[in-house]
Amino acid sequence: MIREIVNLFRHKYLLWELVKRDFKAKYIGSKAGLFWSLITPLIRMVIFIFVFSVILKVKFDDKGGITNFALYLICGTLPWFGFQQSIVRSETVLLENSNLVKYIVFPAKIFPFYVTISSLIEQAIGFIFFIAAVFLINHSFSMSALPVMLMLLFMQLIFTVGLGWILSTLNILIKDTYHAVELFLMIWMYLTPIFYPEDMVPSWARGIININPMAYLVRFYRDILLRNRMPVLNEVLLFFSIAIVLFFLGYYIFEKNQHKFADLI
Amino acid sequence: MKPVIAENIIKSYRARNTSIEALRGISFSAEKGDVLGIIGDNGSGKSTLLKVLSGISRPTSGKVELSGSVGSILDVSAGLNAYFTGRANIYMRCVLMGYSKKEIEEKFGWISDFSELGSFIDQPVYMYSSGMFMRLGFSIAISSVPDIFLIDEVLSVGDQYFQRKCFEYLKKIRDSGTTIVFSSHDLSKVKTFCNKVIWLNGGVIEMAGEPGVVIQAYMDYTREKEGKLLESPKGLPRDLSHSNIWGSGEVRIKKIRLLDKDGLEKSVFRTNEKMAIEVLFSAETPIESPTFGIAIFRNDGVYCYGPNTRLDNKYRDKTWKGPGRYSITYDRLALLPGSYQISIGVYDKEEIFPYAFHHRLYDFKVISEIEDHGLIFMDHKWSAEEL
Repeated sequence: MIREIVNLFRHKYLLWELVKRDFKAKYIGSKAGLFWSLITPLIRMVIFIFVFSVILKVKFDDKGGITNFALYLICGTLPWFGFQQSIVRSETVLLENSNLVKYIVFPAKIFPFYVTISSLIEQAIGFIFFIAAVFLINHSFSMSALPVMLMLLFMQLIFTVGLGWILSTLNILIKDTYHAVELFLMIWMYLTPIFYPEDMVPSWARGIININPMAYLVRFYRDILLRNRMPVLNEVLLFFSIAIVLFFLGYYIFEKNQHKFADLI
Repeated sequence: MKPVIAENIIKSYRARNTSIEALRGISFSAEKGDVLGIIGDNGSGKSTLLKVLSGISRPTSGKVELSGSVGSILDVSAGLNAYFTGRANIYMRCVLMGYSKKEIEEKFGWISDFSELGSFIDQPVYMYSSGMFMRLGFSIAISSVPDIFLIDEVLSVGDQYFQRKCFEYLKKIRDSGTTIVFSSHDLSKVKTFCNKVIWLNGGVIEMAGEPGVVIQAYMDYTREKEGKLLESPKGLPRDLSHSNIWGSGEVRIKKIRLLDKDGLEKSVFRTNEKMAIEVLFSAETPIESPTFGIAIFRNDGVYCYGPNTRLDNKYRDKTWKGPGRYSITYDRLALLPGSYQISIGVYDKEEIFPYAFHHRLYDFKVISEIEDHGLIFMDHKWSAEEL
C-alpha cells in the first residue's frame, strides 16, 4: 500500500492541474477572477471584527490570553470551514465527474485529494489575511509560527483526505450518506469550540472535546497564531496519529470499492 | 500470447430488487492486429462488454486478459469542460490519461492538427458545433497508439469527411499491429473494417466468425423482427395456427417441396441457382379452372414476386378432382442472400376468393459468394469512358 500511495504522489502533475482547473473553473467568465478568492475571506473577516469588536465590544478572556473575540472566532472558523468544504466536496466530486468515472480509465483517488487541497489553499489564503489582522490588532506575531502553521496544514490535509476518501466511497455506495454527513457536520461544528471559549465547557462535557480531533486542530491553530505558544507535543502527536490512521483506512476503503463506482454512478 | 482473451464473462447489475444480467458467459479472443467488430441490438451488451474489457467495470465472474497497453474510447465527450478552451481541454484530458507535461506538449500539435479546429482551438468549447466537439474529443482519444484499442460506437461521429479520416487513421493503426475491438451499428463499416465479427444477443454470443456470414445472419434476424412488427398491429408475433391459413376448403394444400436442378429437395439456395417450388394438393370436390399462385416474401415482409396462372393465362379450362400437383420453376433465382418465405394460394378462376391459402408458411434461405446490395440480382453490364 505504501508503494501505491507513493504512486499517488507521482500524479502530482495531474493533482496540480486539477487544482488549477478548479480555481479557473470557479471564476471562469468572471472579469475579476481570482480576485474573488481573495476578497471574500477578507471582507468576511472585516465584518466579523466590526460586529464583535466595534459594535458588540464582546469582553473576552481565555486562559491563554486571547482578548479579542473576533480573532478567536475567525481562528476557529477558518480551519473548520476548510475542513467542512473539503468533506462535502469530496463526497460529491466523483458524482459530478460521473462521465469520467464511467468512461475513462484514470486515478479516481486523486479527486477527493485535489478538492481537499483546493479547499485548504482557500483556507491558507484566509489565514494570510488573518495573520495580517492579528499583526494590526495585537501588534505581535512571531514569524516562527509560519513553519508550524504549514505543518498543521499538512496534518489537516492528511486527516481530511482520509475522511474524504471514506465518505466519497460511502456516498456512492449509500446515497443517504450525503444527508447524514450534512447533519453530522453541523453537530460536530457545535461540539468543536469555535463559537465559544473552550474554558467555558462544563467539566462533564469536556470528554466530548477531548475525543474530538477537530477541537485539537482548532486549538493548535489558536496556540500558534493567537497565544504565541507551541501546541502541546503530545496532542500534536495524537492528532497526527489519528490523521495517519484515517489516511490509510480511507485509502484502503476507497481502493477496495473503487471497481464498483462505474456501475453505481 | 493472444492480446485479448475473454473467458466466460458474466456481468450482472443489481437494480432495486432484481438482478439484470447484461453479459451471460462471453468468451472470445483476438490475435495481434485483429479488428474485432461487435454488433447487436441496443441493450444486447455491447457497451457493457467494452466497459468490462477496458477495466472500468469489473465482471461479476469470468476473466479478462489483455496483454499490452490499452486505450479505450467509450465516450468522446467524457471529461471535456464546456467552459474551457479546446486547448485547455486537450491538456486536461491528456493529464487525466496520465501523460506528463512534456508528452502532452509533444502530442498537442498532432491533436490540434487532426481535429482541424484551426483557430477555434483557443475558443471555449461551448462555442463549438456538435461536430467540432466530437472532433476534439475523438482526436484526443486516438492521439496515443496502444497495443489494444477498445472503441464503443463513437466512430459515427462528425461529418462523412471526418469519419473517413478516422477510419483511414484506424486502418493505419491496425496495420501497425494494434488489436482493435469496436462496436458499431454501422454494418457496412463493420464489414469492410473487421476481420472477425461477434454478434451479441441478450448478453450471449449469438454468432461469431467471418464478417460476411455473421452480418448476413444478423440482417436476417433484424428483418424477421421488423417483419413481425409490421404484420401484427400490436407488435406481437403472428400466430401460425390461425391467421396464416385461410380459404373455403374445396382445395387442401398437402405439401410443399423446394427442388434444385437435380430434383433434390433442399431449403438453402444460391443466388442465380435453378429452383422449383412444387405444390401437392387435393381437390375435395370438382373445381373448374382454378388459379394457382406462388409468392415469395422476404422475412421482413417485403413482397418479392408472386405470379399466378390467371395472370400468365395457363390452365384456364380444366376441371380438377382428387390429388394434383403444380409447380413453378425459376431458371435463375434472382434473390440476393437472406431469409425468405413462400405463400401458396389456390383461387377460383377469376382470382376473387381463395379455396386455400397458406400465407408465408414455408421458409428458405438464399446465400451467395458474391457480395451484392439490394433485393434481387439484375443482369448488368458496366461501361465507362472519358468524354
